[in-house]
Amino acid sequence: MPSPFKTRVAQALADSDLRTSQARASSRLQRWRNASFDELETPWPDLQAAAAASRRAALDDLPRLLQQLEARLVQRGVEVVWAEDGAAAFRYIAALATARGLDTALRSRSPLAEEIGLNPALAEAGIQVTNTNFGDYILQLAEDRSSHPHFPALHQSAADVANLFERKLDMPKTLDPQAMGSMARFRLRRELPRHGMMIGQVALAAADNGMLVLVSDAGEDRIAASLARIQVLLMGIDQVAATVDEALFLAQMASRSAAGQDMPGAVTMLSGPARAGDPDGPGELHLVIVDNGRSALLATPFRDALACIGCGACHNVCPVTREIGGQAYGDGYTGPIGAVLAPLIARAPTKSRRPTRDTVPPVTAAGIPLLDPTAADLPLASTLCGACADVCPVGIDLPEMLRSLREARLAAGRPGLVDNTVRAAFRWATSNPANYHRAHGWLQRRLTGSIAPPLRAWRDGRDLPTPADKLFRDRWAERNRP
Amino acid sequence: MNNARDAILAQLAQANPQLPQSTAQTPLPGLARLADTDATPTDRLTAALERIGATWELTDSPVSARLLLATALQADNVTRVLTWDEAHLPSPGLLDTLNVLGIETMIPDLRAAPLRLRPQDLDSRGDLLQAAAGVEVGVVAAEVGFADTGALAVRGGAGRPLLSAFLPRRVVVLLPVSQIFPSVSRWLARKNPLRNDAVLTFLSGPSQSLDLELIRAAGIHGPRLVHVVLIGGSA
Ligand code: SF4
Repeated sequence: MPSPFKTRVAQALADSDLRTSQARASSRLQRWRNASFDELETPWPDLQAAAAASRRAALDDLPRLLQQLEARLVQRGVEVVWAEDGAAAFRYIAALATARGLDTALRSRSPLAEEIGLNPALAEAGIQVTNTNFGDYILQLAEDRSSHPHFPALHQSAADVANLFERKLDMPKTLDPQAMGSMARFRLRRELPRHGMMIGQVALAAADNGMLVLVSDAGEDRIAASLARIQVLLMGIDQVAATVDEALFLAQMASRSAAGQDMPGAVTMLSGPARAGDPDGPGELHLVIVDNGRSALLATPFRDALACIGCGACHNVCPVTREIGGQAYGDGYTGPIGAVLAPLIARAPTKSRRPTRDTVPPVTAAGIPLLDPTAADLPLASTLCGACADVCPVGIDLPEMLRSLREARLAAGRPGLVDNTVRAAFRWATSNPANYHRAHGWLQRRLTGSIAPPLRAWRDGRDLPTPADKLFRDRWAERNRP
Repeated sequence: MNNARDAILAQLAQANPQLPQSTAQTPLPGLARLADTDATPTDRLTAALERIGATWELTDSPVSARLLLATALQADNVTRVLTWDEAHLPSPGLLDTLNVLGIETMIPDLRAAPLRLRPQDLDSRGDLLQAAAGVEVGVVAAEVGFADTGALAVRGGAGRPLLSAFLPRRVVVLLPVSQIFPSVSRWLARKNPLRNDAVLTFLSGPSQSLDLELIRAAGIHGPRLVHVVLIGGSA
């Protein structure tokens, strides 16, 4: 029985329109990224090394940096809370909304909110959340899920959205993204004053002066910071930089890597709630520092994955992701970094992540916590070509991590009878020339002809080379025959 | 949640048993463009503004900036602008000039709306915002412009409502040429960027989204047009 991941991959591969549009979008993003680094004086390896060093140093020094940040923020009147998991985070937010008599909130782009399933959890508590990021707004209307770390609705075509806006917003059909964007502006501007609470995410916090750096393309965080009465910001425990200089350097590395932009479209640096006399700005500022499996991950060989700054460059360059698209990965995390983080970070159960009989039980092999068994197949979605590590602005060795996660999956006994049989047969066939000779004819027939159903599923899921008609040894012997 | 704090910090300390002894920083590399090497800061800034879709013009003094802006707004039939207290604009007498020309100047202040959050309070806040949202043009000032990226540092605070920059469809940003810095990092090395204010934003051209098929849609959460008036000479 194929795993949910394999089913999603098969569905994605069968959708040729999606494959073409994904590949085209990835190529464009990759071109923009390359051009943006090629135009700089400092060579890419030096920039990558500096960004990597900054992130590694921060991860090594997390307890001190987080406490330093907390002290600065508390001094300026920020309410800082710590949440061990997603449930604790949304309990806090729900209680806050209830205490202030609110039953709605607006939310800007937040991969962390997706990770912990914030919108559905708050809805269950009676608080309706409206997404303000244009991509997320489209997805919410379409009841769809994100497919890209930076452009969540990348899989939606203009025609899809035109139909959606006609159906849900009564908008005359147009294929013009600007017209649809203007419609979103009109709708969201009407919403803005009606909500007392704005939820967002910190891109990076600067520990030295206690600044919370928020970034977005269109500026939804910026307008939220001006209008919010209560602003709630989520932050992973890993999203801290030692200095504001480093935070802004990393933000620029991320925007160049994401879409070749010199600087994110909008950067907002917040240090606290509005001061007395300020004409706008949040009346209350709450920072929720979320762990959700990260501190456990820090103690494993995968700690470097927490250096990620969420640019999506690995997603755009991966030959597998370009074919299957981001949605095949499930909810939230996509691409090579998604395939690493998804099995390791505890996430809220959703439809596409519901455990099945076919999923791996949680294991700890060589100190590796496989917290999300439904995502254990994701590391298979890679050719291990190394393109992701080359473009990663913080130099995460994603191929090595993917390889280790495959090992962990094997150690957990995941392959099952078919995989184990194929592996044992391969071992036997390649253990000496005589065995290979014997296996050759059988392989030739079975790789193209009929084969028992369980093995057929295994074979058909792979691009395997057909063995040559004759073995090299036989051809060599024939050639040299007098 | 204090228990959570202690538990998380304990787990982090365990995961990082050997904390780094030195916190000395290595300097970060610059992000300067090769093509910019010989250009003046003003030329680099204006080229960067064009790259990010902003328009600009150069005036030779605060007085000419004031006259140019007032005439342009009048010619465009603008009747109201959202703006800042005059003390924070680098063009003295600008608001008076606009008023003389019949252009109403509004300085939005959300403190005028009740702070307690009951549904009816949100409504009155909404009315206030709706009035401000009907205004087409904002006039604000940037504290600094960054020549490498075209980003403009706009500081919120008393007398400087950020809504004036982000609510209208068109925003005019005044920037003295003397306030052009090569890059964000060079500025940060010189100043405490936040001073005593709660919020500092970098405005990089019009609000733009690439969410739909990677085609630009402007103005979803901010100005659709950003026009920078560079002011030469001294105030
Ligand atoms: S792993 Fe690297 S390339 Fe991928 S999203 Fe994170 S920072 Fe970007």
